[in-house]
Amino acid sequence: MLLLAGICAFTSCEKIVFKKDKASKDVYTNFDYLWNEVDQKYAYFEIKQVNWDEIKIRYRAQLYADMSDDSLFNVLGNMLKELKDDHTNLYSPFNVSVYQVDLKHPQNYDSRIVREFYLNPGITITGGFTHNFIANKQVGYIRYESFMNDIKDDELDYVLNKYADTKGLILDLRSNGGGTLTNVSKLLGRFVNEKTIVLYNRIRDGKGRNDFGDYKPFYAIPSENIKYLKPVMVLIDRGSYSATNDFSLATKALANLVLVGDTTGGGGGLPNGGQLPNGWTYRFSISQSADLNKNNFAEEGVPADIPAQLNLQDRTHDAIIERAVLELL
Amino acid sequence: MVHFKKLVGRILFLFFFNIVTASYLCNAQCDSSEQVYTRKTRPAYTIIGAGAGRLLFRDFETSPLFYKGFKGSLFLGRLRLDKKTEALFDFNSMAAATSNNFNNTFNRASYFSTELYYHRLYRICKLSTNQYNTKAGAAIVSTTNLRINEAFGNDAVKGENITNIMGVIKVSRDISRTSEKTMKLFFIKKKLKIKKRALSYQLNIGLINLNYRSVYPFLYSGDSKGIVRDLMNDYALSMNGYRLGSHINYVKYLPNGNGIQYSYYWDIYNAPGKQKAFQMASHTFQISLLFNTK
Repeated sequence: MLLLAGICAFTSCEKIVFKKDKASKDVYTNFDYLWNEVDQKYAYFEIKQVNWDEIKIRYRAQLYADMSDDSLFNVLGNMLKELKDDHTNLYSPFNVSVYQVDLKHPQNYDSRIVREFYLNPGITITGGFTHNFIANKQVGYIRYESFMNDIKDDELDYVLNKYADTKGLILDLRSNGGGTLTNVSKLLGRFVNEKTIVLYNRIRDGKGRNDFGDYKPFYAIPSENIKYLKPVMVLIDRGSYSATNDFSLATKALANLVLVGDTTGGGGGLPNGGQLPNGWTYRFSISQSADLNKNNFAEEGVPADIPAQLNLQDRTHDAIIERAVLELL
Repeated sequence: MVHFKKLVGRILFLFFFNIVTASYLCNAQCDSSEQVYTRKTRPAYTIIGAGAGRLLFRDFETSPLFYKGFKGSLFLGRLRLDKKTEALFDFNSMAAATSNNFNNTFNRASYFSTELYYHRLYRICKLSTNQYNTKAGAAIVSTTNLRINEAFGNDAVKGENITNIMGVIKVSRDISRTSEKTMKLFFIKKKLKIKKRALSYQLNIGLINLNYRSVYPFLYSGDSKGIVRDLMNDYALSMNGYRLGSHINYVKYLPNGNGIQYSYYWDIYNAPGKQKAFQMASHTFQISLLFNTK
């Protein structure tokens, strides 16, 4: 026994103990692996009415044994696009598959118009926030480009303190593609006075396509720093995705936050990553977000409370900002 | 295959149970002429060591591929031993940089780990002679890992605890030079002094294998102060898998009672948890200083 153990010790016994390396470039192996991973974990088959079994038949038929990496990527990427979900991507060294939900709808944000006619002159950049007074200093306009930009307390204190005496704020989250949920809670915490359940999340926890765990609440918790409790118009469009979608959904539970603009792009689910046997990586949503009534409509986008559209013919006005100002004054 | 593994597991359990029981019973029958130590008089060493080696792991939850790389480790321990008993308590901290480059898809994973280990061994008289000393007993080892692979997005950070109660058998051979010798090699002549040295081989086999792993990715509740609670919310304890380890130690004692130990450690475990298995294997070469504190 000692001899056996000794031999093991010096000859990388893990090769005997572990199952063999699963690395493989075989197209069928990789297709089946990806299809099964999505099948067992993806959270929106029923809501989006996706027939995943039919999709398997259709796309597997496109495979052939010696197909190139590029061709395999196209088959797998197109299969994932059937989920109509920007949280679903395939990453290879030469390409990334994307659905691009915002391009399926009209443009409702033009950064040139905002910077030229609202933020300047006197634009201020504080961390991830670009801001200025507008409407004769009666309204504070704050542009937050991405929830990936970490929110620091002192930066947000500076911004909210600057606009403390305004009649209201405009928080522009258009084309904000999301980021981290900790930034969502940091921002929400500045607009609430008491701990409030603002949405629910649940995770797929079974092999059945409708097997989910319990709904878990997501809270807006009052910040101990400077807060702004007057009306806030939150601007959204189809480019408002993922964490921004969650923020938008949360506003439905808060009376002082009002959504203005177009419906969000969706993406309430938590996208989780993984790797195929050929080394490519992927991600897709494995959880659902729901409103206080536990409706899951948010994956298709959170509708604005005050719908508004950008008039792209008018290059000097942002109709959505103007509509928000009108609401505040 | 599953039945075979269960059978092997039961045989090993019984094997170690018998050894531990036998060693306890045999201990009383050992050579009575040997010096008897009490807890206070038993030789004790503080061990400080550093190691380097190779690590590979695979977490089927996120990837079917092995990540391999180099590791560095620090070791701090307290050893009390005589011919009849041995107790070792140690803390081990490790960091590894691993990667996988299959199909030119280079991905990196950082791997950090801390480990607490304790074993207590008793001599098996029937398997021991003047030169060979065989001890057996039990060990408890608790390993906590933190792994980061940025390619996996929200699943980039993974952590788990692997705790095992293990059967241990250790065979030591006293290879001391008890008298001065003269070595002649061609025209070179060297006087070899008396030296105290020991060589040992130790095998650890997991008898009770626990793992505490996340079943699903965590859902953040919005409370930044409770993020650890959220993180641990979907962790679950499982009793499955296996763990094996083997150590080869060569100790050279100095005239002042201290020593230098050269070691090779091999550690391997498989933790299936509730969902998909996590597997790790490492090989470590370690140099340690033994400070005699008695």
